[in-house]
Amino acid sequence: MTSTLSAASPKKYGYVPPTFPRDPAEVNQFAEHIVLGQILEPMVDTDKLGNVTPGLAESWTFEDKGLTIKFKIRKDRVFSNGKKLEAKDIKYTIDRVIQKKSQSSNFLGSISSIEAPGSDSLIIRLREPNVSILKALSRDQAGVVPIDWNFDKESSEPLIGSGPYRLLKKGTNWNLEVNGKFPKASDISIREWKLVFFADHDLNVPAIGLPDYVPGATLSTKTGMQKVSGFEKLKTVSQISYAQTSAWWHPHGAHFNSAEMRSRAMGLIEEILAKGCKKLELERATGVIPKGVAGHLAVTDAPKVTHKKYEKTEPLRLAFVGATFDDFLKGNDVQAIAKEHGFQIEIIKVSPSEMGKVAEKKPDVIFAGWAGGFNDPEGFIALLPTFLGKDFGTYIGPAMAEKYKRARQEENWTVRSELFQQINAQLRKDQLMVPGWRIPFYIIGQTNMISEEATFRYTPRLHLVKDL
Amino acid sequence: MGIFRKSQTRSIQIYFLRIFIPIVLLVSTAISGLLAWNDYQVNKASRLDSQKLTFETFAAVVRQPLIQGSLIEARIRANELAQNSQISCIEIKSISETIQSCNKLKTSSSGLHRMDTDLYFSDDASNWMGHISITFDNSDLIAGIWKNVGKNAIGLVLLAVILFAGLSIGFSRIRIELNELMKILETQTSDKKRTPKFKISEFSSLAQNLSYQFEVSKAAAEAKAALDVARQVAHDIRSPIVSLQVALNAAQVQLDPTIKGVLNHSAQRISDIANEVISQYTASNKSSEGQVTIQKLPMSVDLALNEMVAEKILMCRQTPQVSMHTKSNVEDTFVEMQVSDFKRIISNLIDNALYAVSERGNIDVNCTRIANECCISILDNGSGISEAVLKTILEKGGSFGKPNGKGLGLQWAKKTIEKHNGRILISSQEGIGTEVRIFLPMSMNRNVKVQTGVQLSLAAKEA
Repeated sequence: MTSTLSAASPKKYGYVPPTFPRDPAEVNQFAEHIVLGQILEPMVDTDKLGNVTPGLAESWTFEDKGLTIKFKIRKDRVFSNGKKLEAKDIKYTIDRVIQKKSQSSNFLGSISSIEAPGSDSLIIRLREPNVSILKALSRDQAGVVPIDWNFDKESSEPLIGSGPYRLLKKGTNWNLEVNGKFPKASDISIREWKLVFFADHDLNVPAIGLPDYVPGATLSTKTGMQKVSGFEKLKTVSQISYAQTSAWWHPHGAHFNSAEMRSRAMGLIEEILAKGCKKLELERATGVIPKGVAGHLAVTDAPKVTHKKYEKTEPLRLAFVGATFDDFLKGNDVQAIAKEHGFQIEIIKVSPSEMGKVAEKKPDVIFAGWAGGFNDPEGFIALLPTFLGKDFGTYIGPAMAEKYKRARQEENWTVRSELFQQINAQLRKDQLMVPGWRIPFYIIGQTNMISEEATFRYTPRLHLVKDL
Repeated sequence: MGIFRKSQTRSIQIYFLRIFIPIVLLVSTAISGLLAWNDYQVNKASRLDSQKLTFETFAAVVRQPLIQGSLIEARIRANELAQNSQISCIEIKSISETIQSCNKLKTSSSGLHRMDTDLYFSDDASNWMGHISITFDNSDLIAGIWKNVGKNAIGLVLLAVILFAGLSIGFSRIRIELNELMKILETQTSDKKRTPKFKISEFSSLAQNLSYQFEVSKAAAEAKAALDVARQVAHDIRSPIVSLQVALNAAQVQLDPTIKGVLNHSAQRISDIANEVISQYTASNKSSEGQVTIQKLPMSVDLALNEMVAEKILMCRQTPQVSMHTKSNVEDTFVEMQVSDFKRIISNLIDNALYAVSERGNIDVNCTRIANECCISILDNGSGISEAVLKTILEKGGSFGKPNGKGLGLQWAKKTIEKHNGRILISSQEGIGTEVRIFLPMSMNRNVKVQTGVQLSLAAKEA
């Protein structure tokens, strides 16, 4: 049975960013996170509703008023290299994710220390109570690697994990093959996936050969695929999405401290986004926290935009991260709108892989689109420093920073949700942020491979996909 | 003397008020209790289903905060649920600590329903995470039973009051009418002017029956007194009649044989009548029901009729303008009747005819057989009877023409004939005449000995 399945030609999985594979600590693309989730297993997991469930840790207890978490680690997990997974591997992984300042380190900042007193015992101590700590630990980027493991791009298996698939290089291709050491590995329907990459670094142009299964496809990806022959044979279903765009008054811009300039500039952005979304029939976002996640705003409360007559134009640097905004810019004469507000716009395009260099470009406004990574409001706030190049508490000022701290620690989920709503509303009121639009995600694939179960999860699991 | 005394009437009231009403109340209370208990069981089953759902929902709701260590959230959710008035206590225990404890129950243990379950990290219940329990307070259901019983008790008391009032009013009327009945019983008569109009139909009917029975008894007593007199007369005339017969026998040479025969026959008939009166009196004294026993011995119609006609023809000699004829084709025909009764009937009817023709006229006495009946017809061409009189002439007291007639003859004749399964018909026309017809069933019994009276009559005829 297994040999027969192995002998079958691999299914094609798409799309993978050209940056892949790279050190998990460096991963910052949604598409990369999905692939990581097939190879590495996080300490805790989440179900289709975003509820926390056991992962590598089978149980845990909170002590010291939530400042200490004691985990009991499963004993049945083995890495693809044959090494048994132990608590010290988890300690090594989390420490590494934090120390390497990965995207996920923004969510794990409350961790003060990690101990592994036994092979199946792990203790995490927190500086302050953090309600979302378990959800943060469920991120695919926090998937466990063996102790002392380091990423080696030249290796034929550069990522070692305990997940259902192994990443193996076959010739010039990267394939995902079933990890035989994964529990019930023989039940996995599709034994091998061949990874299909985007044709460009902006994750905009799909490869010519259409994959059999594409989770997490954006609207632009879908539009690109529609131009390739054979698309009509594929099935498209909507996938759960917590991704959206927003524009931020950037702290490294030349006019950051000018309230008047901020008002003028963000008024302009309001108008651009409003007209653009209407023209392109995009669903408008209401704040930094997307609809469906606790703390989101129910309605857009846009500040009133006033037009004055300006004798001369001021330069305004707009940074656009990734390809998400290309289609948006195509349909709008942004420069003409800007002129009415007394601005001469300079557009800076930033590749997602160059996020660390955004501050050097000193944009006045940065446009970005991202998903929180887990179903929690903290997932959308804590990630902002990646775009802003500044600690969020410093960026929003001491009053709102105090509120943000309370929100992170508040155990009453209703109150916590209200605090995040207040922060969300204040960002709009202060014109630090203008909400963009909701980014829809799709699963596109062979008709017989699309199952309802696979569509529910935010980062879909390939071992649940069946070749019926 | 009365059957119902006041003290007894009260005892009937006591029967209803002290026994019937308590029984009604007890049965009603028992039914009410059963209904309340049934309601309790139904409500309890429904409540337990609802509470099971509440508990399962709570277990699902509180599990995530416990998994994520948001113990305050778990407590908040528990407290929100505890606002439910049915919940007496919620307990939540995690691996490390008791999150929500149950310090004091709101009520006693009788109405409490506790549900508890373990919580696990995984759906396969492999990693224990905590324990929750909810104690529901269902004492209101038990209180509901008493509340229902209380409500029903008020209803029952009202019912008892209504019953009491209704029966009291009803009994006052019954008592009034019973008192009237008692008066009728005590006096054995009813004063129709004084007797109130009964409202209860049974009492009214009873009063009428009592009045009628008293009248019948009175008439019976009068009849008995008359019979006593008749017996005395019959007894007293027997001796002179025997002497008369002896004298007639001794004087048979000197008298015309026909006259002698008539005299003999008349003396014999008086003797028969006297004997019959005495025998009837004896029979009525012996009969347990006071009824005269009907003697059904066969008698020869032809012989008895000829004797009577002969007697009456002799009487007609004094009035030559009156002719009497007889014709009979009923030889060897017998009817089951006392011969004296038969003769009395025929005698009375011929007397009536003689009276009707007065001094001049014809009387035909015929006897024929029609099927199984013997028909005796007495036809006269006398004054006749009016149509109005004809309708009532056979009823009690009906009479026509005779100055001292009481109508008893015809009434008695009709009664006697009908007792013997016969019938009497009278047809008449004023100025033309009257015909009286008697139909008597013929006796089929020929082997019995004929009545003595007939034999005596035959002997008298031969003589």
